[in-house]
Amino acid sequence: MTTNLLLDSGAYSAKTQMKKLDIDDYIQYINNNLDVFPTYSYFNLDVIGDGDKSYQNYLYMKMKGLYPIPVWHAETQTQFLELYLKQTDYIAIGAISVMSNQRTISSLDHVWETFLTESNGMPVCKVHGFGLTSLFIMTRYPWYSVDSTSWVQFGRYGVILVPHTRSGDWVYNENPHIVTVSSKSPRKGLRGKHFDTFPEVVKLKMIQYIESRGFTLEEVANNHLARDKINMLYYISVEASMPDWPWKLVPKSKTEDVI
Amino acid sequence: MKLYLAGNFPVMKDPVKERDFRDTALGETDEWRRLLSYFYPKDIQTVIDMRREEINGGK
Repeated sequence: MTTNLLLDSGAYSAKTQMKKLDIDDYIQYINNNLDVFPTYSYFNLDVIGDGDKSYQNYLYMKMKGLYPIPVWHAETQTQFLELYLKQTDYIAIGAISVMSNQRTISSLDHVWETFLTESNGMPVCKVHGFGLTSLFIMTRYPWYSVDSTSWVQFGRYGVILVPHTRSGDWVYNENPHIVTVSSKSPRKGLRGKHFDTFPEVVKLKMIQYIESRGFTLEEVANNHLARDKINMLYYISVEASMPDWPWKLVPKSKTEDVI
Repeated sequence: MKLYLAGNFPVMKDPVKERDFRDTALGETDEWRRLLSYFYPKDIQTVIDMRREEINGGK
């Protein structure tokens, strides 16, 4: 099997559109698709900002015979995180992207160090990072799994991610160049932002990277699907550059650049 | 770390584009991982159908 799916309830989207999700409908949908969504491949119907209601939904789904991955929202009461940890070995942390980066990092450092790792730094269970937009956060903690829309969002702004090089190799465990390539972008002409403004030697490296991925500069400049694809490949390479899970959480500087 | 790609409904809804992205990804990794949202059932059906095809022995 080459396809692996996770099903999210879409609680965040529902909230932003002021719509309600019915938990029994969600349960029915999962039951109708159990061949595609087996145990621990779907999340609890979480209630944004309400740890108690999310927990009640988790218990209800379990009572109905399902095995959801519980979603605990960063900055709701940690008592619910502790309750989940007693009942399952795969949890998710949500509402990460809605916080500012420094606040996010402080909060996640605390949660990982206090609840999610053993005294030797190894994770106590599988943890999913919901909706991660920051590569820094993605690579800082020993997530078992994460999801992200960043591969699409960068492309919509006419941007591609280009890794730096070291000793001739592309480096994926550092912040990349964030390069606007679209000829229609309002950032055209902005020094250090748009491709045209980089020094020739850097431009040549960037073109080398783009071509190594099977594209031309013209394609990624003019076709958003080409940008989506090259950014998807970038993120897949980030994933491949990570150590095999589980790995030890090592306290790191909080002053590193965040993207 | 397993990365699940979320979003991109224009691709997700179109089986030709979704297969194209999947095949490109599978040139670099051994699994095509997608996060789907129950809130958008019509948009995710193509990916569910593709997975079901795979389970049933199709491509």
